[in-house]
This record gives sequence, structure tokens and C-alpha cells, in this order.
Amino acid sequence: MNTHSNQNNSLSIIVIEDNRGDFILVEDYLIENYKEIKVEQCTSFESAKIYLQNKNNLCDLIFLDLNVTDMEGLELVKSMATLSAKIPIIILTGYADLPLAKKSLELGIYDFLIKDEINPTLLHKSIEFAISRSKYVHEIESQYEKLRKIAWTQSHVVRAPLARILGIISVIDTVNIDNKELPFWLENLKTSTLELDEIIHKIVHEAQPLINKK
Amino acid sequence: MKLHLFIIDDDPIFRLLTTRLISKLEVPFLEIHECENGEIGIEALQKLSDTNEKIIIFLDINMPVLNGWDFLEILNQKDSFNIQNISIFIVSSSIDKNDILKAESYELVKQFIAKPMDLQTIKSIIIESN
Repeated sequence: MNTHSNQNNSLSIIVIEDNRGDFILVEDYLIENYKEIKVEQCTSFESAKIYLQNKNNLCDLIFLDLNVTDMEGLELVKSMATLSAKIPIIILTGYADLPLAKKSLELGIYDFLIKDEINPTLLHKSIEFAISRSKYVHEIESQYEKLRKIAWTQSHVVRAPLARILGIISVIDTVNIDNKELPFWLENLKTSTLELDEIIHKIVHEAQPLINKK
Repeated sequence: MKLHLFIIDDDPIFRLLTTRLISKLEVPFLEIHECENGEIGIEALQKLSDTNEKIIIFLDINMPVLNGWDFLEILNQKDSFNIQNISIFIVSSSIDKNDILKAESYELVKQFIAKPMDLQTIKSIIIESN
């Protein structure tokens, strides 16, 4: 499964909908706004899953009806949200269910539309918002992941040679080290310091894109 | 009575640092066991399974072959160890709160010590066990 969001203005959309009439309506509306669009219908969660797991299938956005042949409601929303980690989902349902709508947005769904209220313009706006917002969200998520990795490195990797340096200093400080032994400890001090320097270089290298960003 | 001190850590410099500091304390009847990972630690500990002598363990977390957490799991499962005699101290360079909380969740673990360990800390641990 891949996304090719707006690379050449072509769009691939899956509509998870078991009602043929509703699907055709959505398809018509989509074709009205996008010159190059591929619309795929899946009538069940299982078939959507199979479609998405195929790496050859492109998908930029998913329209989800809340009642398909094998699953419905919140369970379906949760399953789809897990399945399509990086693809924005817009719910398209027959009923205005405010609590469910709220819950869905918390799960990362981008919009909650009522079938009777949609028109080509509304769909177009909702798609553009969802795709642009999802790009932004993924960018933030990947930055967060980098920062999390850096934080982990700080508390685990950086401290290893640093603690060794402090330990060596405390031995030199408290134990009577003779002239024969001193070079050994100095050599190890040097090794650990270089190791620390190397780790810091690595961290700065990883953080550079985040530092540059304003 | 004899006192056993296990230093289970893959970093030879840490083991050397610790033994050098301990030599300063001149503890009588102290036997130091250096183990470079948890598996070697378990094997060495098994040889002492019949003893009533006190055992102190300085245990590192991140080690190859068998890390500190897995070492604790094995110790928890085996009845063959006389756990009453064993005091375990996690000695790690980590200051990650998650590691500290995890260490404290083990009944076997007396304390989490962030490296470096100073002479005073080692001294109080040994005095307390004697």
C-alpha cells in the first residue's frame, strides 16, 4: 500500500460502502472535481483490508460508511484507523450521530459527513483539508519520533561513557594510584571521552534538521 | 562470615573501577565475583546455591547474552536460589524514570543506583549487609 498524494494531481480513493447506489453517487461527485481520479469500492472491512495490504494498490484517502457487510459502528472505525495508519479517513454515513462523530475524531478520523448533506464542493473541500492536514500531522509525528529517540539516547547512551569518566575520576581521586597505573586510567579516560564525543556528534547530526527548522 | 559480591556488568572498566574502590575499604572475608553478563552471573550464583553466606549483587541492565531484567526473571523463577541471602542493586548508567520504576517493581531489587557509584555508596551497602 502506498500513497502518491498529489504528485501529478492524480488521486486514488477507496470508498468502503456496501450500497451500490450510495457508492455511485460519491463516485460521480468525485469525478466532477478531479480530472484524474481512481475510485475503488470495497463492500466490507475484510475486502478493504486485503486491498490496502497489497503494496501495488495506491490509496490517498478512504471514505468509510459506518455500516458495511461484516462490521459496523465504532468497531469498524477503530479497525480502519488501525489498518490505515497513514491514510486519512473520512466517515460518510447516513445518520448524524454526534457522540460517535466525536469519538471518531479522537481516533484520528479527519471528517464526519452525512450522506444527505454532501455535494461535490463539500466533498472536494473535505478531501483537500484531510490530505493537507494528514501530511502536516505525519511530518509532526516523524519529528516527534526523532525527538523521542534523541531523548532516549540522552538518558541511555550518552550516560554510559560519561558515568565511566566520572567513575575513573573518582578512583583517581580516592584510591592511591601510583605512576605505573596512572597512564592506564588516563588512556581509559581518553577512550571514554572520545566515545562521548562521537555520540554527541551523532545526536547533533540527527537533530540538525530539527534545529534548522524555524 | 564470608561476604560475596557479584559485579555483573559487561563493561570491564566498570568492574575494575568498582573493585579498585572496594579494595580501599579493606573489607575482611570478602570474595568478589566478576561476571560479564547475566548468564555467567546465573552460573556463578548457582555454585553458591547451598550457602548461607550473604551475597550482594551489583547488576547492570544493558548487557549482551542475558541482560539485567532477564537475569531477575530467571532468579524469580528458580527456587534453587536462597533468595533470603541475596541483595540485588541495579547499577546502571541509565537515569530513565522507566528503568528506575521497573527496577523498583522487583521485590528482589533493594535499590536502583545510577552510575557512577562512589566509595560512600559501596561502603554503606557493605556495612548494611554485614
